[in-house]
Formats: sequence, structure tokens, C-alpha cells
Amino acid sequence: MLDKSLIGRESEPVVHEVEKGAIRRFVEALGDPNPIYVDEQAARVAGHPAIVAPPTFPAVLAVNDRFRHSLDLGTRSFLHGEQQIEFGRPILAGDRITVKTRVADVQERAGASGTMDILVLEDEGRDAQGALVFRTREVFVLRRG
Amino acid sequence: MALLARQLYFEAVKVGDELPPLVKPPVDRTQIARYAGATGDYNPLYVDELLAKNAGFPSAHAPGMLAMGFIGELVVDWLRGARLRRYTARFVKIVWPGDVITCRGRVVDRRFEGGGVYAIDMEVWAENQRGELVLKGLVIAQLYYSADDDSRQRAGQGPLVVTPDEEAARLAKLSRAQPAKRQEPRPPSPPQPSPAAKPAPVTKVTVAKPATPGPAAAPAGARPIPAGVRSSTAGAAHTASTAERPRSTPSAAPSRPAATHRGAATSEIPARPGKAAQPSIPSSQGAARDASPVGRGAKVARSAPRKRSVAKARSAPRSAPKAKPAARASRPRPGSKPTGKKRR
Repeated sequence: MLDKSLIGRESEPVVHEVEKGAIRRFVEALGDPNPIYVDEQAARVAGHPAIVAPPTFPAVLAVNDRFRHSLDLGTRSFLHGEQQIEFGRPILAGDRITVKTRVADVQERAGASGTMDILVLEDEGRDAQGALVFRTREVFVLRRG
Repeated sequence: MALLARQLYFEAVKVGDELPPLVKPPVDRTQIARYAGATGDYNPLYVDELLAKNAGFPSAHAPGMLAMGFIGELVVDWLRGARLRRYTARFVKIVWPGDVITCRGRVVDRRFEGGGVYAIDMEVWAENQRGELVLKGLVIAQLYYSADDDSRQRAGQGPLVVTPDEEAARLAKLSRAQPAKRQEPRPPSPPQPSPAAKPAPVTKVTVAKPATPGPAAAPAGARPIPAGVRSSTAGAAHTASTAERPRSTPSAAPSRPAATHRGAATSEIPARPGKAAQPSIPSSQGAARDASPVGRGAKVARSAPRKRSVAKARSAPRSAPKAKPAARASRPRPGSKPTGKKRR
């Protein structure tokens, strides 16, 4: 089972520069044709100061492979069970966002195919002024074997 | 663009409002790879077929976040600029390559939070082409009360403060001032039944409901309900107008009022036009080879969800994802006509 002592472990802060190209690739992967994600003028018309990122874009900023590897979880399959996103403000192209990830919880749960480990990660993104941009919480199910 | 410039305001939102369903093109492996690349989340279960099989899965699968992103598209388009506060999702079932995802949503709460802050809660969910729930979630958004509130706040003034009582009073006043509002969405010229068409509804009624006393049904049958109306795909508006007539046909009675309601709702909140018919960006490459079977499935799904969501509104407004079998059962309408004829 997962080590309970992982709870509370926190990553180094990672600074992300939100690039237009990254937003564009993300919405193209989703197949979302909304122009506010790619066209500066469309974003202005919709009331944003610059190109915005779609609501699930924090997923891009919250992925911290190095931190996950540091948890030493082995080669077990990692299923995403739940996701929460809290928005402080919309993410804009050009933002510099500092993201920290921490282990919020570790549990063991009995499932249909034996016991499973549950890993809960929380991420927080803040802008250059220190204001909250987003807070996310991911629940992962780790299958044994 | 014109649509984007429009705002959705709190005053126009009602609990029970449904978001127009969004049917995405089939999820293919190229899209999964693109998504993994765009997020940097290279979970091998998404991109490594052999590893996924060794781990006991039938194949690699799509990230749950992909479906969450699909719903994000639906919600952002519907809210048109309103601020998102919170978006939560539970990934109920795995999305597999080839799945056609339909995203849906419904307003479940509408709150005056005081001090000019207005929020709505939307229950959102996604289904695959087998009608299985793959994702269930909740979106909380904050809206301007009205265009007036919007322009005041953009000009740097304080928000417009409206209490629920004030709103109720204004609505009551409005409904007194315009009692005939409901009649307006009636189609410009409902097809007039030719004399020859008249007998058809009468006989149909008697066949469909043998228990109904014939003479009572006859005057109702004399009401113009052309056969074309029933099968018309533009249904909502047509049925709405027929439902206005007092007790048009006994058999029509149970289902029509719900259709009226939906017709009214959609006319207030403009659906984004042509969304369903949009070209599929990611499917153009990978899905080309299996486009014919899946693509056709997508088309069926595209028209079916609309009917299904109407049925849902009729039967169980709250527990929609679970109530599907019941909703289907309560939709015998299109089939009932041919069978009636056959029996005769």
C-alpha cells in the first residue's frame, strides 16, 4: 500500500509561462472551435483583455511529472477518478503562473478487483502578483499488480 | 462572433433550463495523442496500447479530462462570458477510442448571494453512444444580473442589487402586461389540413385508444392536426402551438405540455446555431478510415439526443442520467402511427 507519510509532501514551485501556442494546441486537441482561445480580437470582443485559456487548461499546468516520479509509485496503472477545478480568474495568454503540487491524501479502498490505492493531489496556481488563479484537486486510483 | 458578443444574464436563467446538447466527433487515437501532447500528461494508459493491454484493459483509452474539456466547451458557449467559479467532475466510465461523446447540462440552482452577486449551478454530464454515463459533474458560474448590471460594472460602478422579491414582483408585472406572450412563437403558417386529411386523425385516435368513447373524440379530431406536424423535426414549436388548443386529442394530452415548456425555454435562450453540424477537426485524419460506421452513428446520435432530452424533461427532470429507460419507454409517438395502420 502507499505510504501514508506521503501526505503533505509538496513539490517545488514550477513557473509556467502561458503561451498562445500552448492554448491553441490544447483547444485543437479538444476540437473546441471557440475563437476566444486563438484570436486576440475575438477574445477582446468577448470582454477579455487577451486570449484566454479554456476552463480545463489548468490540467496542463498541474501536470508535474518530476513530482509524481519522486513519490516512487512504481509502474502501476494510474486511473484518473475525479477532478475539481476552482477558478480565481481566467487564465490569459502571457500569464506567468507559479504552480505548487502537494499530496493531499492517501487512502486504501476495497474495489471489485481487490484493494486499490487512492492518491489525492492538490495544485495551486498563483500569478506574478500572488493572486490565486486556480486550485485543482485530482483523485487517482492506483491499481495493484 | 455575433453570438459571442451576447451575454447570458442571470435574469434570463431558470432552474431546469437545459443546455443544448453538444455531440462531439468520435474520439480517435490521434485526438488522444494530441491531447496527451498538449497537456504533457503521457500516462501510458492513454498512449501505450501494449502496456494498457498488459494492465488488463482492452485497449488504450482517452483521458477523462478530454470529456471534461468537451463539457467545458458546452458550458463556455452557453454562458457566453459569465465567470466560472468551480468545475468538478467524476469520471464514471472510461472513454474508449471510437466513442461518440454527447455533453449535456441543466441548471439546478440559481442563487441571489447578496450584494449584487448572482450564481447558478449546472449539473453537467457526458454519455457515450451506448447511452452510458461516462462523466458527471457540476459547474458553478457567476453571472451579471442583466445588461444594465453588466454595463455598470464594466464602467467601474457597483453591481446592480436585486432581491428575489423584487424580481418576483417585476415578473408578475410583466406577465400581467403581456398575457399573450406564449402565443408568439407559433409558426408563421401552420399547415392547414385539407378536407381529405380530416378523417385520418379521427380514426387514428380511435385505433390508438380503444377505450376512449368515439363521439367525444370526434370533435377533437376535427381540430386540424395534420399528420405532417407530428413527424416534423421542427417539433417543439409546432407541438407547442397544438398544445395551446384545449384538449386537441386525448392521446396527445400527456406529452404535449412538456414540449410546450421546452419550446418556450429554448426560445428565450438562443441555442448556438449550427453547432452540431460543425466540421470535426480532429476526426479528419484518424477517423477517416472508420468514418462510415462511426460517422453514421454520430449522425443518429446527433438527432436522437434532442428527442431524448425532450423525453427526459417530460419524465424526470432531476435524475436524468438514470431515467433513460423510462424516458425511452414514454416516447412511443413516432412508432405508434404505422402500427395503428397495420392493425387496421
